[in-house]
Formats: sequence, C-alpha cells, structure tokens
Amino acid sequence: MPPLLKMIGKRLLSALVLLWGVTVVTFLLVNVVPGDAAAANLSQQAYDDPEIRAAFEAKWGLDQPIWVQYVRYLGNILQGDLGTSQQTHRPVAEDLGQYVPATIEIALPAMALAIVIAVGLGMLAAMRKNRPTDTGIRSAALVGLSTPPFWLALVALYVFFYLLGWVPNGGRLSNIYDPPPAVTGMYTVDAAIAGQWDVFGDALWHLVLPVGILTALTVSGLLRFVRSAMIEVLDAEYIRSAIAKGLPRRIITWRHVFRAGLLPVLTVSGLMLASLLGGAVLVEQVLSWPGLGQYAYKSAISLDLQAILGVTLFIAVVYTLINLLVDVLYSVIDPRIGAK
Amino acid sequence: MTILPSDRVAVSRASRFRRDRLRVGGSLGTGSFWRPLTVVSLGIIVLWCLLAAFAPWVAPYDPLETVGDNLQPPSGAHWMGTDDLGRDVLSRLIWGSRLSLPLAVAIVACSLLVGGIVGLAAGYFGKAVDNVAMRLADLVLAFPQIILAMAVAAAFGPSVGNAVLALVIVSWPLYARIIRSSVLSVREQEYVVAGRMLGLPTLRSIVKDVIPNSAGPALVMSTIELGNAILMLAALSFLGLGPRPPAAEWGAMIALGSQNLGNWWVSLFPGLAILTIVMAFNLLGDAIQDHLDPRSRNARTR
Amino acid sequence: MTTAADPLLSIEGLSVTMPTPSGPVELVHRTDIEIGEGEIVGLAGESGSGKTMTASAIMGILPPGARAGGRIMFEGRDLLSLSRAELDTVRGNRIAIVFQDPSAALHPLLTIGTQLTEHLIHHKGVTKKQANARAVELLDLVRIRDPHHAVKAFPHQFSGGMRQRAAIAIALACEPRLLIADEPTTALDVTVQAGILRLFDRLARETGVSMLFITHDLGVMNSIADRTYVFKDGTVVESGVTTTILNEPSHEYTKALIASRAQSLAEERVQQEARP
Ligand SMILES: Nc1ncnc2c1ncn2[C@@H]1O[C@H](COP(=O)(O)OP(=O)(O)OP(=O)(O)O)[C@@H](O)[C@H]1O
Ligand SMILES: [Mg+2]
Repeated sequence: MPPLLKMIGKRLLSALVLLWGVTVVTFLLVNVVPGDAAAANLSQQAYDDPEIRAAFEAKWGLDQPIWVQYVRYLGNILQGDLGTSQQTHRPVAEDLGQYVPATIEIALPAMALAIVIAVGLGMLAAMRKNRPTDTGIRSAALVGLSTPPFWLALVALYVFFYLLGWVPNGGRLSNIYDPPPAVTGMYTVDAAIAGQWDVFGDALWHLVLPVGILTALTVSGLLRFVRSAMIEVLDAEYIRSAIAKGLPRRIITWRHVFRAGLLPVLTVSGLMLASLLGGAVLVEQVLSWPGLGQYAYKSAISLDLQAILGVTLFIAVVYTLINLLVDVLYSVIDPRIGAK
Repeated sequence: MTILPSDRVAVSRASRFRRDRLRVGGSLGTGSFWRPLTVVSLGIIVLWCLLAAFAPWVAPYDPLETVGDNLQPPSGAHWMGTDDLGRDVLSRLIWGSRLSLPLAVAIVACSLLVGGIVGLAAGYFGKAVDNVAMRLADLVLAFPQIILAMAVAAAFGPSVGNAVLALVIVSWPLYARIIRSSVLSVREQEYVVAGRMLGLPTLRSIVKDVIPNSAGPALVMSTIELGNAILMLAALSFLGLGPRPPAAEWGAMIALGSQNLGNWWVSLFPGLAILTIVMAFNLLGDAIQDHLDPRSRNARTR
Repeated sequence: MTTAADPLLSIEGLSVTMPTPSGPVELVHRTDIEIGEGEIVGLAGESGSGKTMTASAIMGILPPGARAGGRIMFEGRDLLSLSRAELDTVRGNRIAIVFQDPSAALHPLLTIGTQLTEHLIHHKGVTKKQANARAVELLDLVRIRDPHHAVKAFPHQFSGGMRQRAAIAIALACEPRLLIADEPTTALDVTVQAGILRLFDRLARETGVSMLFITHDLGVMNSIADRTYVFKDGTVVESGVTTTILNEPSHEYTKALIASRAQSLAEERVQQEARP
C-alpha cells in the first residue's frame, strides 16, 4: 500500500477510536455525576410526586442500568438518532440541523479571514522582527489573548451598536424580514439562492459583528505561531540561498518564505478551531446568535442530557475530523512525508 | 475560548526546552529577566494579590450590600458606579480578586498535581499504563476546553467547587504530557549514564530527577495557565455556571452589565480587571520562558 | 596562475563587524583578496576564522546586524556600496555561491526544476520553456542521471552528493563569472567528496568560471586551487601559489595547518589499515 494511504488509514483508525472514547466520556460524564435531570426539568411539585418522577424517568430511559442506556445511545447515534431534547421536545439531530448552520455561518468566514489576516500580519511581524511594527502586532495579539471573549463581544456591541449604530443589536435578521426558504440553513446563502437580495444584505449586515469578533480572537491566537514559524523560515539557510540568487523580494516572500511557513500554520489552524468554537459559545451568548453555542448553553444549564450529549459529540466529531483532514492535507502538501 | 490552542502549544513549547536549561531557581536575579515589561507584569500581579489580601480594608464599601442608588454612573462616591442592586462596582471588583486569584491558583495546583501523578505513572510504568493515560489525555483534548468544562460544570451543578473541578478535568492532560516526557528523558539519561539496562529505576530516583527536569516547563506552563484559569473561570461564571450570586465574581459581574448596554460601567471594569491580570500572567510566563531558554526568544510571539 | 592586470574581484581592506551583547566584535579585518579572470583561488583556514563571513560579505548575505567595511570591487563596481536592487542584478547572475550543506541550502518544498530556473527566468528573461530545457542541460552538466526526471524531483528525493550537484547546477544556471564554493564537500560523505571536487575542477576548465574555493583542507586546496590565501582569526596571514605555500610555508600557522593535515591523513590511513 502507498505510504500516504497507509498513514491516512492509521489516522482514520485512531480518530475512530478517539470518537468512540468521546461517546463514552460524554455519556458517563452526564450520567454518573450527581446532577439530577428530573430535578432540573420538573417543577418542584412534579418532582415531589413519585409517580410523575417515575414516569419522567421511564420516558427518558433514566430507570435503566447505565450500560443499557449507553448501548442504546450508541446504537442510536450510529443511525443518526441523537435522542430527543427534554427542552425543545424535538429530536436533538433536528435541533442541531437548525442551530449548526447559524454557527457555521459565523465560524467558517471567521476561520478563513483569521488565517489570511494572521498569516499576513505574522509574516509582516517576522520580517520586521523586534521593530515597532512587530512590537505593535504582538502587543495587539497579547491583548486579544488576554481578553475574555464575551467581554470583547460586549465592548464591540456597545461601541458599534450602542454608540455608533453601525451594526444591529445581535440576532441573525431584522424583524421586518422573514428567514429565506431553508436550503442550507445559512441565511446569507439561502437568501442568495432565493434571489432575495434585501434579505441577503440584512443577513450579511448581521454577520459583521460576530464574524469580526471571532476573527479578532482567532487572529490573536494564531499570530504567535505564524510569526514564530515565519521567523524560523526566515532564518533558514534556503532563504539565504534565495537571497544569494538575487531573486526579487516578492518571489522570496511568497514562493520561498510563505510556502515553507504555511505548513506549521496549517496544523495550528486545525487546533485553533477548538478555540473558535469555544469562543462562539460565549460570543453567541452576548449577540443573541441562535447557534450551537446558545443551544449548548441552554441545554447545559437545564441538564438536558440528550442535547448535551448531542452537542458535545457533534463538536468533538467535527473537531477530530477537521484535524484528521489537516493531517492528511499536510502530508499531501509536504512532499517529504508521503515519500518516507 | 482563545486561550485553548495556546495550552497545547505551551506543551510543545515547554517540551522544547533543553535538559540543561531546565534548572530553575539559581539565576533569576541576573541576566535579562528583569526587563521593563517583566517588572510591570510582576507589579500588576503583586498589586492584585495585595488588593485581594487587603480587600476588607481597601474596598470602600461592602461588596454584597446595597450602598447607593441603582445603576449610578461613576462618580466621586462610587468611582466605578453602582450595579442594578445599588452595590458598589469598585468594591465588588476588589473583592472579586479574592475569588479569581485563589481559585486560579487552586485550579493550576490541582491540575499540576493530577497531571503530575498521571504523567509520572505513564512515564514510569510505560506500556499499558502509558497507553491508557495518554489516550485518556487525547480524549480530553478532543473537546474544545470551554465546551467540556461547561458540560462538566453543568452536570455537577453550578457552584464554585464544581467550576474548579471542571477546569481541572479539562486541563490536567497538558501537565501530564510535560511530566511524562520529562520522565522519559530522565529514564533515557539514566539508561545512558548509569548503563542501567534492566529493571525499573527506583521511583525515588525518578522523582528526584524528574522534578528539577520538569520544573522549567511546568513553571512556564503554570504561569500562563494561571491567566487561562482566570479567563475560563470568568467564562463559566458568565454562563451562570460559576460561583452563585450574589458572589462578586468578575465574569458574573460582566454578565450583569450585559443586560443593558447603557450601563457600560457595570461590565467594563470587571473586564479590564480580567484583562490586566491575565495579560500580566502571560507576559510573566513569556519572560520566564525567555529566561530559561533564550534560544526561544525568536519564537516568542506574545 | 594568471593574475590579470585588472582582476575580476578584488577585496580591499574588508572588515566585518558583528554586534554582540558585550559590544561589537570585528570578525574579519583588513583583508585583501584578488581573483583573476578564470582563476581558481583557495581560501584556507581553521573553523571560525571568518571564511564564511568573507564569502557572505561578497554576496551581501551577512547575518542581520553585521556591518562590512572596505571595498569589494567586481566588474568595476563596489559591491558594498550597491543598493539591494543593484546587488540583486549581480548576485545569482554574475556571482553565485554554493553552500556547505546542500540539505539546508535547497528549499525543501520546491522542485529542483523550480530552484534551477527561477533566477534564470528572472535574470535572463528567458521563457519558462527555454529555462526548463536549460535546467535539463545543467543537470546533465553536473552528471545527474535522468535529468528529465530529476527536474521534477524534490531535494529530499536526492542523495547528499546529488543535492550538492544540484546546488552547483543552480549556481551555474546564469553562467556567472565568479563561483564561490564555501566548503562544498565538508558536509558530504567521504565517498562522494572526491567526485564533487572533480566536478568543480572540470567545470572550471569547461566553463572558464573563476572560483573562490573555501576549505580548511589543504590537501583539497592542492588539487584544485591555483593560488591560496591562508586565513587566521579574520585576516590573511599568507598568500601565494598553492604549491609554493604547501611546500615552503613561511608562516607558523600555515605550517601548523599542514602538520594537522598530515596527522589527520596518517590517522585516516591507520584507520583504513585497521579495517579488515
Ligand atoms: N551570527 C553570528 N553572530 C556573532 N558571531 C558570529 C555569527 N556567525 C559567526 N560568528 C562568528 O564569526 C566567526 C567567523 O565565522 P565563520 O562562519 O566565518 O567561520 P568559518 O571560517 O567559515 O568557519 P567554518 O570552517 O567552521 O565554516 C566565528 O568566530 C563565529 O563565532
Ligand atoms: Mg564557514
């Protein structure tokens, strides 16, 4: 078998084992711990009535042995059934279908923008190492890294909505518009598909703040890696070779430095996704963005067992798969790996 | 939250240390350690510690009592204004440090302890123990930190203790990895130096060698993680999963102000408090890192 | 052995200063070196004597912070006084360098073909197609087998000796008038060193390129250089025709270098004989 395929197979296998572990962890976590789902979801009066409580527990399978609950859950997951939310009384998978696109709509552009900006600024900082430009960029990143994301969102909302009125007060769409016919669940995309350009514009306008904040947070996280990766490359002898060849700065920067520095950045970007999704939980909370973060938060505080399991599992799956993808991509881009 | 991958990197950064550079203690008094930024960040940390220690004497009012009109903007009587219950924001902010700082220390200390024991066991026994321990660490790291912490804190019920527990659960693997790799390198060294071919070295000698060996990376990591712990704790309280109201906790205070943007002072100051102390820990961590491993200065980005 | 009236390169009073935590240090001082048209000049000296610094000063690739004084005259211009843009028309084009360690000097993510042609296209304004044809020619010139295949390869797919051959091909791409070789065999396996030396010798004869050949191995110098400069602690202590220097060294340091060379040769022989 070609070494590349073998490596991908190996990674895939360990990712699968990891994901299986994830289901065990999330499941055990929410079952073995003292939190009482019945207490969280029933009124005090209903909770005190043993019959109602028993009925509640029977309905959600809470009276079964743990491992029976787990096996059943695992079986269901494999069929795409993540159970039913006690909060929304809808299948969790259906809830996810509604909330996930909202998060993708902010997370994806933020990730893309962040990589572009971080690579640009990181290269600039590396090339101006220890000069004012570098110091400025690094200080900004330090502030970004030390700021609570939810507070940054609040400050941004205060400045850009409350004081300046440039952006809306959270949400995905102004009241005067109805959501476009659902295709992808992402309002901008759906509006464009339906040709509703006023809705598209409004949805885009609502994206500005959440995407901007998530981008800023992600850039601060990425920047240090980009900078140090680029500095390492700039110090490399093959860059001295390129300079000694009399190549123009443009070619050295983009063909020689950029290319070599991008590889480590790629790996970190995969890891950075975790921080982005985590940041999204907090930012969505402030900006009333009805995405995965809000759903996770709401189900967590009401001990909505199935929903928590669903969200956590979903995020862990996405995270693991993306990092698997990054690994594979890395080995495809780096000619040195496949050959070994 | 933003801090996440930096943990992972702290691991890799920390494990990049050369063995001979690891010994801490010794020479903080000399060399490039005392640069202006280091002094400033240490100053900020000391200041917050003092404020926390002397809060009852420093804070102008009782943090939990209504001491003025509701939602007064900053004034001579209330430098940072009052919140929706007429409590003095400045006093709550000062008292807030009494929660955040000790809790952050507790989180880091417990994570270090748990991670240290697991890492030691993994490196010492190797084989199956190592495998299980490291897969377990991978497992925890397969979740975005704040989301797992949120699930844990929610599952155990919102309280100070459970928030700390949740944050320890999500951060021990970082330390476990450092300690493990340190044990492995010590064992390799002993193997080479003492020509010890067979059997396990005594646990005692491992511990004796591992502690000075891993002290450097663990110290850098712990310093940065102190800031991280403060951020995560604030995030959990912001979501209502930290200390119960009416406790004066920075994250919860920010949440209180988020309900009405007009009352900016309720949220602004606690956020600045978090920002300053976390930034100070980050700067200090970098300074220590630089000092222990000057070669990494180029790689330093913060 | 011909020192033309007007040398191709003449280094006059070169000094290189590096800032260090304990003040600036002069690593190269008052160095004069001349290289004539078609001449192969050796630069010998122990490790750390400043040979690489001298070569870097010529190419304008001194480490950040380093400052060079004096003059480096090449084709009527002082390289030290040129702007970066002006220097870029000279280096890679009229002067090229081969570094010590080809594994580090070649870009790991660019094909040999790209690295062979990019400066050719830039300096000579040839088309991509012409450049590719030339690349194949060059690889053939440095005796890399199957050049059509090799242009598409990445450096890691080559052996150490092949990498150095590729690096030499890259240096020769624009038909420079001066080739600087900074210990081009030191990082290589002993078994391939001789081949690379022979390659340099042949290339000098076939292409007529002048060469500044840096090494700490006087034996190597003997086989390749017309004239030799002996370098110590950042300055020239002895210079002249290579054979004269080797046979009648006048400076103590040169004698010591020769002695250490003889000793290491003897050691090598003993080791070889010890082997079954
Ligand atoms: N970046 C630097 N900063 C400060 N000093 C340096 C730096 N690089 C090299 N040096 C010093 O400059 C001196 C000359 O170095 P150089 O590399 O020119 O020696 P060399 O003759 O090429 O030796 P070798 O045979 O080992 O290649 C050495 O003493 C070295 O310590
Ligand atoms: Mg050298």
